[in-house]
Amino acid sequence: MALRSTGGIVLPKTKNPSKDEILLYDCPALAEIRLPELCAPVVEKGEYVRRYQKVACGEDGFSVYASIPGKVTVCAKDRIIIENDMSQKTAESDANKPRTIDDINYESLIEYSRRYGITGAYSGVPLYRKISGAYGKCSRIIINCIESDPYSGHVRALVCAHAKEIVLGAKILMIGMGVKKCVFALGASYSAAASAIKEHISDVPGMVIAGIKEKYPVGNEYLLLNAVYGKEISRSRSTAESGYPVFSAETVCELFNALRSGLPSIYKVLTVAGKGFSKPYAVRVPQGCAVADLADFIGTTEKFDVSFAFGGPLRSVPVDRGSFLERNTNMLLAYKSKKPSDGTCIRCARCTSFCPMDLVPFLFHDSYSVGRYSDVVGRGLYNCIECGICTYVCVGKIDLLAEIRAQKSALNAPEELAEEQPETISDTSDENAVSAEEEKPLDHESSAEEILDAVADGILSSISEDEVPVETVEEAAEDTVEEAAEEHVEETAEITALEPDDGKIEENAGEDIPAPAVDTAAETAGETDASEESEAEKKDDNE
Amino acid sequence: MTTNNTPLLFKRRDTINTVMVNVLIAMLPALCWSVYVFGFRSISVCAAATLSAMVLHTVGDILISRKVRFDLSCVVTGVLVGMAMPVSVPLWLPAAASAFAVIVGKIFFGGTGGNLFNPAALGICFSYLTFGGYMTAFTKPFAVLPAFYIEIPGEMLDSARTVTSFENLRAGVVDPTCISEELYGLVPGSIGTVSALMLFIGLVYLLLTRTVHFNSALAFLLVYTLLSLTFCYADYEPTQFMELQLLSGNLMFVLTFMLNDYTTTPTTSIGRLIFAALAAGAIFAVRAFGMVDYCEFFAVLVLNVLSPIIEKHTYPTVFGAHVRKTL
Ligand code: SF4
Ligand code: SF4
Repeated sequence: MALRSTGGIVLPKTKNPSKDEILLYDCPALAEIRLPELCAPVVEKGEYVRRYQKVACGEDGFSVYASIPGKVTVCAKDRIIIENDMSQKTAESDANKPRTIDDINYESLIEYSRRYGITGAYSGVPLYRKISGAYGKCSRIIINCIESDPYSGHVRALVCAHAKEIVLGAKILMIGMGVKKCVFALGASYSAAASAIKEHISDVPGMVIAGIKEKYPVGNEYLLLNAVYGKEISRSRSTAESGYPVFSAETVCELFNALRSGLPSIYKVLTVAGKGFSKPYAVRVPQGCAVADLADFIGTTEKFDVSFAFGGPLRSVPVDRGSFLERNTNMLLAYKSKKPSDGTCIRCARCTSFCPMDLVPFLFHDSYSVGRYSDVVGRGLYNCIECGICTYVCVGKIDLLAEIRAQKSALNAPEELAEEQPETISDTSDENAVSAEEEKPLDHESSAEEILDAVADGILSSISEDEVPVETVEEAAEDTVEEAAEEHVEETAEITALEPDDGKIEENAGEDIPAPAVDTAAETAGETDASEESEAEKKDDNE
Repeated sequence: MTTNNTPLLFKRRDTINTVMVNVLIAMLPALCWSVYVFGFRSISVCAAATLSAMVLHTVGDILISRKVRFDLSCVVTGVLVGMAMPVSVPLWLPAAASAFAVIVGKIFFGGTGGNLFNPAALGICFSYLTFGGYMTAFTKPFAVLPAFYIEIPGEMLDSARTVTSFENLRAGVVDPTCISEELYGLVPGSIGTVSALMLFIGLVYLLLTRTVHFNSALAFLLVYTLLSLTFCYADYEPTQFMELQLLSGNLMFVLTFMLNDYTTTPTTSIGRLIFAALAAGAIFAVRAFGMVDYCEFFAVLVLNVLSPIIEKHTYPTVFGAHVRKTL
């Protein structure tokens, strides 16, 4: 039995490029390098840059690199546009790259992931923030190898082609973060990807594969953790801060490749799909590649005027032909645009019953139609993960997702100035999160909640190594979950090198994984029950 | 404010009209049965009600929103009004009742989806209160009335007229033989409500197509069965009393088409359970104490008022039990 998450919907099977090779498209005419906050350009307009050359650097040391060689045509505070000269000139690789696995510890991992500009493939935020947010709080890492959207196949293609890199990248993360356990979350039907991973994890202790029932949108971190651990992680903080850092397979692969080669991360793997293309493809493109160039490379249909959008077919955001891929664009869709329909809500409650976040989307429609957006913040407007299921199932043909997005942006636009002043409204700090939860008594509280509160109060310095999640994984082991010998972690004094057949990183025996900062004494006895309850609740929910 | 519409690349499974077509299909068994029992006049009654509902819905929509958003929900309302009437009513009465249903029940509340009361129930209650004489003139089964007479001549009506088992129940007359006839619908009564079996087939169809929810239908039947077994107020064996209660009158009709209406019942699953249990209690109570024809429809109207209140208190807790106040 595959592990299931609550809510969500099983979508019809679609064509996908999971069995194909990943196409490499290396020469877009233009690329736009987006700069994260606090990053300033170190090049000037008109300057010539080579591929892999540093173009911006942040106050925190996070660096951004040119993904194509050529002339800088636009150099603004938040973006740099490069015009390709098709010369294939590259900058040298970093001389200070890690030589052996000994070079990896928490500080150096943070330093390397900053220096090589590695960002989360789905979130687009720098990887080091997730690592530092989770460091010391977690006792396991989760590698997300699940396709987040229908038609998407690039994750499976990547896992099949680069399983070794992904496993070794995960090992680097385990060592750097001082954890002993790593869960590869794969869809229950990804047999090729699972066997590719299985082949490599056997020599790394502490790694297991979890087979997850493929429902949309189980690629979401919170729902993925719900499927693997049966817990509802509070949305008051990120999953990493809650002790369950989730890294995508692509991020981990990029991390390993950057550390091994000393070249920064400048490529993005994505799926292109939709009626405008002949079939879905998995492609590897330079970061910030122009949409028009990529579309011409794949070849769009002549039959109708093609519109483009980023993101999965249920939740995409329309974009112009002249725009550029972003760091977290995992799908490019080409489709025939339709006139938006004018919908009527008949209160059929389909949207409510399918919403994975247990929201009541038609209330968002009500508030949108009367223009009182702030009313629904208390109904969880900001809890919406923008999966688009509500739009898909709505019998009244209402574009609920567009209305939710419009309300979110309308609420946020004018408040940017006022945001700093009322400290009490912001619930990002721990104290406020706790008090906000006290105000509103919880109907079904999860065990994670209790632990989080305990963390907030400083009782626990870290989340304890709980046995329950491991059992959850083991229980489902019959056919889909592969369990590695995690109890041998202590005994195995020897860890194979990062890349034994690559001469650059030497074999290194006698290396111990640093003991994780885990407070086993603080293990809560009640946690087993609470987790079982949430399992039972999950079953009830699946009506 | 302009919205960037989401380019949905998946075809939606259902629209309002597919839902409404499902409801109309669920009415077919009961309608066909009524033609068999009452003749083609039952079709003319339903047609009169439906036509009037469609015309007024379209006109009202144009007046209110300045554009036609025709959907099949008004057809459903019209057919329901027709089905709840005795076959002997003059043909203008169903037309007037569904006109009232559409104007007061729907247009006043802003069209499809906004209504507080079930429009069909409103229309029935309206015509019962204003033209009670016509509405209680039930005829014998197989006393076929002319299909196209606007009004049935008095002597023809008198010769066909009879009492319903519901009236028997009120008078305390014990007649256990009629249970199977109630089940099949070989009894006097309204056009679409006589055959509990045919209505049940419709209900099963709605359940199987996932148009309505299992839990509320089950909760209603369970609570109603328990109530009628416990408080048997007539001179019957409790089981016979329970069967007669479930099969007679408009109970099955109300359960199938009104307690499962989307707009006028709660949208949350717990809310639906509470609503179904309350509905069972309310219908049992009005039958026990009021004992008027069409009392089930009055109970539905009262419950419709409670529905938003129940709904408000049963919204689900958000995933992770933490409502975010900022992005
Ligand atoms: S409300 Fe948000 S989370 Fe819920 S179904 Fe709609 S888009 Fe998804
Ligand atoms: S799915 Fe659409 S019609 Fe149904 S309740 Fe939600 S918003 Fe209304």
